[in-house]
Amino acid sequence: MTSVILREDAQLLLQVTTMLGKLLLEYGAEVYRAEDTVQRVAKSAKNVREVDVLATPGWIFVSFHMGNESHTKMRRVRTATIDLSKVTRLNDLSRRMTSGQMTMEEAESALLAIQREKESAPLLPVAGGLIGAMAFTLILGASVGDTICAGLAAVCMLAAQRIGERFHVTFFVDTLIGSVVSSAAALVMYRLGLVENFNLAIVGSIMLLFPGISITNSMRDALSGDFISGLTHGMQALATALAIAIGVGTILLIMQGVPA
Amino acid sequence: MSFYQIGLVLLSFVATAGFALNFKLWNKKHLLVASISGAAGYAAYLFFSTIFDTQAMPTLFGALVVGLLGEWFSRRIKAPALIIILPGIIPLVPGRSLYATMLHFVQEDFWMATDQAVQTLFVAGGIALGILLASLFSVSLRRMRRLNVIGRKERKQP
Repeated sequence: MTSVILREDAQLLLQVTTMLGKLLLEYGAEVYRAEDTVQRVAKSAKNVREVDVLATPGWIFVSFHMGNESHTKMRRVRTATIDLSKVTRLNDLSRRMTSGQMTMEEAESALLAIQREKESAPLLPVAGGLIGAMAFTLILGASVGDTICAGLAAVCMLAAQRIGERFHVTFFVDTLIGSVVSSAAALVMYRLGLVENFNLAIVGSIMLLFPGISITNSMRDALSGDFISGLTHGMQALATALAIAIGVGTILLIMQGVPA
Repeated sequence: MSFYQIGLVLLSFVATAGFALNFKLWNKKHLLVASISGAAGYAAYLFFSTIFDTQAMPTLFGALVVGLLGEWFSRRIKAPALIIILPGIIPLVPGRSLYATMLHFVQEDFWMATDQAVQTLFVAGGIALGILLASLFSVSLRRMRRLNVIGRKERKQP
């Protein structure tokens, strides 16, 4: 009888830990931190030995020994969308699970609630993108007119990406659409005579697409000995840069082809 | 520090806050802390760029400041350091040289493109190394405290 209960416990623990890891990775947590958090949660359960967690940006494995059986589960991690407040809430949740303030059933329903939650204010990230792009363009030394145009191009880009998200496109197509739309918007404003420095306006607006975080993460993973994650993040950064280059490059070639 | 540089630091504060919002960080305290770290990192970058001639070294020190502040604040507000570091390094990201790389590749000017690409990689490496050093520092500090080498006397049970 006890072995059946143990098996159910193990299944629930597997379910909760893999889902926690998957959600952490999907909302943009670092790989090593996701591994660490999942490991802590799994170790805090009773009768569990030999906990091993293996995570990369693309998948997560959790494996442990409970009773006299081994249990393993794997989840795929789909394209990440950064959501820092959800990362914070998942972190709080894992802390409560580790200290035993929460049963596994409660944890599972809380995880599902976080996953299903709709965005409360969909315009706020766009406003943030506008402010961020404008401030960044000003830091680069652009004039006020260029800055406003970079902000407008950034808003066009975020709106296009929002529409693209509805069709569940991959990150490559998403970035391509974003870079084409923002540089086309900058080009139109340049032709209308609103922009003096075309390049700075584009840099400011596509700053939101730049794989700076992937590059940094990949170097950081590789330097701490996590080579698979480092390679994956590095390839992602390279592919993102390629998508931006294709998008912006197409618009630049069109601009050279069409007389003013 | 000139007025121009103070203006740049203020702008980096605003830029960090904007990007943090774009990364869906709603909590006001977290936003404030992240923006302060971003601005401090950019200030360090500006200061060290008067000392070093290269791009990568000042970026390393800027990222180190962001990382140390991130680890310190994250302990105080009980949130992962990521939510501070991710927006905080945005003002240091080599956006212009990455764009120049792509531009030169599109124009088939491969010498300049490679030049800019290496530059971008070095600056990105500087950011990564700065953050890595900060997190290594905080981890080893915690370990030393736990083993009672320095600091607090009471021992925490894990």
